[in-house]
Amino acid sequence: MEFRLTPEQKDFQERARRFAQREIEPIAVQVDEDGRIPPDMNEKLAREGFVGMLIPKQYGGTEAGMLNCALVFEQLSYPICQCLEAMGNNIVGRVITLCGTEEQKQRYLPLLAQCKLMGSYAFTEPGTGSDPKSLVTTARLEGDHWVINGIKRFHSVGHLAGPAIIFANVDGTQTTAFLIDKLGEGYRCSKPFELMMGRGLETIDTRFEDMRVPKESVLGTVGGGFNILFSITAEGRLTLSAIAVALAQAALDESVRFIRDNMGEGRQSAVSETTKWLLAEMAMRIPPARVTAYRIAWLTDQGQDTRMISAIIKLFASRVATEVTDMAMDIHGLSGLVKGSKIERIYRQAKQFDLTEGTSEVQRTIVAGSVLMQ
Amino acid sequence: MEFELTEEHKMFQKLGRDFADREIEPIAEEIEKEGKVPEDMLGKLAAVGLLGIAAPEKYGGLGAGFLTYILAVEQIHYPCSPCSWLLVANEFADVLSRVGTESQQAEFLPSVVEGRLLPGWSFGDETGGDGPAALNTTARLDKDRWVINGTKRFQTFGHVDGPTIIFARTGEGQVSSFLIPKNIAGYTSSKPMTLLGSRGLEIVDTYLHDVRVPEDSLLGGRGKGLEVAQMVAVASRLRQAIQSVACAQRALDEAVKYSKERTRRGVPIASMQAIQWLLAEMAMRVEPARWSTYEVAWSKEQGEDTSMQSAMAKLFAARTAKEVANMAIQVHGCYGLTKDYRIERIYRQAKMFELTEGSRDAQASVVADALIAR
Repeated sequence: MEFRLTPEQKDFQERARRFAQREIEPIAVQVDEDGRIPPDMNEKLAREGFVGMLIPKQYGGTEAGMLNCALVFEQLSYPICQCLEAMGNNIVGRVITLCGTEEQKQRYLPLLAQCKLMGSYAFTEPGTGSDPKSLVTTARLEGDHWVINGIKRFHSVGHLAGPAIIFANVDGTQTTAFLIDKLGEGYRCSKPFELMMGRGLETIDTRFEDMRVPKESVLGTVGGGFNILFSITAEGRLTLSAIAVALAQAALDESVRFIRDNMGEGRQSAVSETTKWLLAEMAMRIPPARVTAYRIAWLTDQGQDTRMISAIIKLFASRVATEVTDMAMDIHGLSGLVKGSKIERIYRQAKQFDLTEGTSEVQRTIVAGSVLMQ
Repeated sequence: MEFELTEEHKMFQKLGRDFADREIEPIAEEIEKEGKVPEDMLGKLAAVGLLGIAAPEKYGGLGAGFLTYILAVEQIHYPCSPCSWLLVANEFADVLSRVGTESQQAEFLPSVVEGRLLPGWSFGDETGGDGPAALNTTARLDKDRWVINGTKRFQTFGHVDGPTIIFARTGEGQVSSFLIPKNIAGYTSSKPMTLLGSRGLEIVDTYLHDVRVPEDSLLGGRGKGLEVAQMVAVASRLRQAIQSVACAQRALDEAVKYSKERTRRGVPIASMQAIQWLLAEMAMRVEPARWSTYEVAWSKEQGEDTSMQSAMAKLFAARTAKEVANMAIQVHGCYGLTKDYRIERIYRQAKMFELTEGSRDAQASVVADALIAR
């Protein structure tokens, strides 16, 4: 066992930290306000090699792996986690790498790694969140085209050109993943949702109205959609966990700073026991979440099946994020409620992890299933 | 980073697991009933090498690292019996090999590793609570002898023959530690107390009345008491953390087992969402507690200062044990209150870790002070 970062891991972490300080920290308040991210942000992230981390070198990626990717996600989201629309390319890139045909790989992976295309995925529908059996989006084969109809809800980055992985039913029962080009004919975007955590990472409804895509657009096999879904969710849970850890860390750091600013020179003894107790409660939750996230990322890199265990860390890290930010609020008192204070922003961002990519209720079902199977 | 256990780790894990299955599990209930660990247990642990894992080879130890020790404790504690406390020989060796003189090591280590003597230590006295800085035990030099006076509270196995580390004031604002044999002239103990958590874990008050020991009984040098105390504390926090993890894992396993056996309206309660919710909440806590303990044990093994990290790990793992045991007994319903089910004993034990060897609140202080000072 070796808990120290390798030089390569340290390098990724350090570069991501510097990038976050240089490019994201200064605009965090503005992004939270109006969601406007500098147009060259994605290109810069790509240039650093942060976008193709799960894409093989032969397709233009850096092949850096899931652990490095988690380290980068954590650092980049420390100032604010709404600037990472490009980072979804990592996950989409990985799924295409694992399940795509050679032609799909050649067509999409190099452009994803360079951020010339923006990948996304959409499973959720107005009538179903995490229950695959309730899917109503359909795809039917007409000659050499699939015709897709339905609505996908909360489709992040659904409004930017690039490949999207869309789940639809074929013949009523066969859940199938399709790799389609967004913004084509029959692909309609709603206005972005206004979300508690602010704008930046835009999330929309996508309506498919007889959208025709080539026959080769199936990702994996017809009826094999669940495998692809599980693959996406395992990686998605991990990256979300890394972001949740970063947010909890930011809340802790902000609280320590707040306490120091308010205690005066050399007056550590004046900090109340209650405040210290809150600090310790916050601090003790973060290392277990972080090391578990790293470990599961490492397991992913070892080629192990992390579909079950990734639910544990998602459940745990999202809990840590909400609990720690809540206690950080308590430390700040009323000033934490004021818009413009950093902790107010962090607090609004913390709840999303409990709800996105499978709510905690869904994660619990998965975890319980795996515990009972053992 | 690399999360694979080494061959040596796995070997000791297996050694611990086999020993626990064979020698402890079958008599765990009896120990609880009798309130006494069998006399030959220490010898049996020594015979398979479990008392000298971290001790230097030249004194009969195996010279393996602290993490290896922690992995063994986890297995030995799975029956949740007080037997795992006998493993403190390893911590004693760890401390002595770093601050003890050559002759102190030669005098005590071989017999401790061989299980002929049971080592101990005692921080707290009547007024001192957790902090050695608040001691009222004193030691004064009388020619070439130290004369020690005071009362030590809650010394684990303080009445069983072996060396013990005693902390005492040796001058204004000066704390020193002494390595003395238990039960020498002037050293008496109270009757063992009966504890909520673990019958058979014998804890006594120790009375030191004009205990005269040679000048070279000082451990780590005059005035170095707080440093030695820190060293002892780190080791024991990590052991307590992993005992908590084992306790939590056992509680989870008992809950899983019971939920599959117990039926309601003809189906196992494991199929009910309310029960699954509890199981998931348990599993979600155990994994992070385990890996953060491993991580800190590893860091200690690397020679890093882990006073804050070990406090966090203990704080979190002890919380985990308590919460998980609470949920596990809930799964059992009223049966959980009966002595017919193990969870009754585990539930009582789980609270212990938040109180022993540095209470929850003492750990919180350590963590908060370190955060604010940093």
